[in-house]
Amino acid sequence: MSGAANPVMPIDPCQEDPEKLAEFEANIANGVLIEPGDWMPEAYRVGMLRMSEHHANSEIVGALPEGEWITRAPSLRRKLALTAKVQDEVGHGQMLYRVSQDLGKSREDMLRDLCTGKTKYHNCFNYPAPTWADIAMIQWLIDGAAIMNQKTLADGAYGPYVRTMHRINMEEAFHFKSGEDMVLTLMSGTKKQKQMTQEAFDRWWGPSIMFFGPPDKPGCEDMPPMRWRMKIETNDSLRQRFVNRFAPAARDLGLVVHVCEKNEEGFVTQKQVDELCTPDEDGNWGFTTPNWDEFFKVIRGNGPCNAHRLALRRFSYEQGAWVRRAIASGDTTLPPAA
Amino acid sequence: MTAMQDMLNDPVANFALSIADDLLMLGHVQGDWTGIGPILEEDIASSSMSQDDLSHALMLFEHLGNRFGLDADVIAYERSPEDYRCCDLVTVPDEFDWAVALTRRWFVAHWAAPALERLGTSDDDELNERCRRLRSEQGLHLSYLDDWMRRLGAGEGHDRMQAAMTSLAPQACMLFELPTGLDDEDHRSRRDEIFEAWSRATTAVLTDAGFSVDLTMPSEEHIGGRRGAHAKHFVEQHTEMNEVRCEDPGASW
Amino acid sequence: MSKIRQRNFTFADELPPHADGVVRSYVVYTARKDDAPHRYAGYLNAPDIALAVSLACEHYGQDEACTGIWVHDVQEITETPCAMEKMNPQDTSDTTDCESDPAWVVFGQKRRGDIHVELASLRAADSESALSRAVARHGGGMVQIRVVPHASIHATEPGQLIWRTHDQTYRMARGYSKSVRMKWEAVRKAEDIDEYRKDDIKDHF
Repeated sequence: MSGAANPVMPIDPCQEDPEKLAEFEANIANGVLIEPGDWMPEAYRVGMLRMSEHHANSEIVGALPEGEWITRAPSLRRKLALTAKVQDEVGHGQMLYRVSQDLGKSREDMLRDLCTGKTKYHNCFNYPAPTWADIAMIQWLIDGAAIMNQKTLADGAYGPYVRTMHRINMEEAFHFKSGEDMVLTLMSGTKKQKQMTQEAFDRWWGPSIMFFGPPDKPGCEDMPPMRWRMKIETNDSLRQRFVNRFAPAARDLGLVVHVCEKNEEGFVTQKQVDELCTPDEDGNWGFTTPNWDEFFKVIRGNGPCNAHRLALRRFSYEQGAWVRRAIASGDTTLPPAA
Repeated sequence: MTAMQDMLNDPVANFALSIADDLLMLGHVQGDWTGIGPILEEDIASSSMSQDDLSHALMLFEHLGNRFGLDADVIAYERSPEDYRCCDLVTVPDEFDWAVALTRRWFVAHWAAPALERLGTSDDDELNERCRRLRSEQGLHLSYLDDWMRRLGAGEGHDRMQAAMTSLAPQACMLFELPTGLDDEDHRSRRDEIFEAWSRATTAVLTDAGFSVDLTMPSEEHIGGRRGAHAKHFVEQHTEMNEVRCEDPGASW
Repeated sequence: MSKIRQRNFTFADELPPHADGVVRSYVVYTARKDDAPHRYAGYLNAPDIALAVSLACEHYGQDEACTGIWVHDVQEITETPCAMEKMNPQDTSDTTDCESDPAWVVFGQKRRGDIHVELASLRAADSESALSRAVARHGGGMVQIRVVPHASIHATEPGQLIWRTHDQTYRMARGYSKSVRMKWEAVRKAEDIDEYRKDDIKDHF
């Protein structure tokens, strides 16, 4: 359900064979997709590996906040839908880890690096989901943002990632629609439900507009991530499209866009109406710039739920180790591990 | 008398509820594992089975709902704890110990399959047809779970699985407690047949895999979940299941 | 929320050691109906092919209607390099299959970025001749041809139940479309709903 990270380019492409690099870049410029057997710059290989790994991590950790609500879903159909949705996240994680695995890192190493905090996952999963309405908001806003992002990523240049993105997008349609149905149901419900939904909306609007990452640096279109079609659209342009779609939808539903301040636990302490929410002559809705200090603080590991999410992930990794050992050995006479 | 009481006084409904409530609560507690399982691929497979279990429970609740004029979700969520007919094995806390979770599911799946066959011989063709479909899908779980049991019979898995089985066996046998209202010779002999089938099938796998467990029919004096005397852990799960619904009773979600 | 999910965990400084032992990678193909070609669905990791098949049924077999699943070890693949342009083989040296040779399944990729789809099967003495025969016969219009020994592919039984028969609209977008539309219509103009829906993803599964 997540967007990929801004790819980090770890290696200077200038060290590559200039002829091969030129051919590679010409192919990409001509819309040719890169397949695993092709020559590719080391920076591209490592960059794609990390991007796919970050995306996979986000799916795996993204399963946790929603997973908390499976046991509490208020009808059998919602319970089934939420179970299926969280299952899809795990499936997406599995498929994306596979893309990275082919680029040179084992799944075991990726899961270990996730547990120890060496690699990251999407920031938005470090916020709490304290009510059922938060589940509705995650599926509507966060999955809605993810769909916008992943639709562009499916136009990327790396064949295995593109194939995976197509498959993932097919499932995202259900996630988004089910979230939309929940939000619509709550907002056509009781006074209490509407209030619960507004509060959840206040918690998730900020993380949703931060979802696409920090403001772009000047010239980013010419830098390798976009030049090599690892990333297709700028953060700011995706963000604007998101606001254009969701701000009027929220308003029509009776939700108010607020600029919020939050405490350490991720709960709103102060809010004021975002006055800018009216379209300009280009049809672009204005919005208050998110608090990027908060974004970077959460990314550095100091968000409301970072520690809790990683702890549960690590617990799962450690708790399941015996099962992986028991079946991976293939040797039924192995003594119990120490 | 209310529709709910009519349903709870009906013998076939009580038998159907014993299966439906088992699958409902099993799907509920297993659903909590989604995203936390030991292996990604297994996590996904396990979730497919949880969805089957919940769907199967829903299909039985829908049948009962049509028959007695009740909403399936009302049957699933809104009975008082003592009106649930599930065996308390299904809500045994697993503390995210996968050996307990697997063993619990395996015992229940081996009961659900023959129980559905039995329920599918009722006078109601519509119910029988539902049972036939449910039975074939529960059959998929059986072969999947049996495969896992055989794989874990040796090495490190063995001791953990044996410990889980030993601790769950007494509660697993309570799957065969006769539900309220079914205390007659006919139901007793049908129950004995299902017990036969269950212990034969489970013992075959246990023997293959190198486990040993004592499985005996519980005494009639031992009153458990099928007659509404639920353990604390069932009541806790029931409360958790209703947490959101109770925030605004009567609201549509 | 369940108690475990709320627990405060404490851990040792170091992660436990790597799990030893072999985990293999498998390629999974699914068929949407009887006699339809098997199409690449994805990969999975498993210790052996028997478990790989059951895991594939419970994942890729549940994404859309599915009547058959093929699984093989990723190492069984022999394939041509992925070409920039569609192939146009002019090989006339192709001979007839010898019935005593092992069977191979041929998969093709039409364009870069596409999935591999089952095309045919043939017989050949070894992977090299299987691949060249496959290219000669089926390479036209493809950018890549892949051959896999038939014997290495594990398949579900014909008629085996994979895709469930109970109502699964809860996990499909179309299960919500009608109710969503109705609820929107209560608060929005039809053209606003259509505009907003433009960024949806088409309901595939």
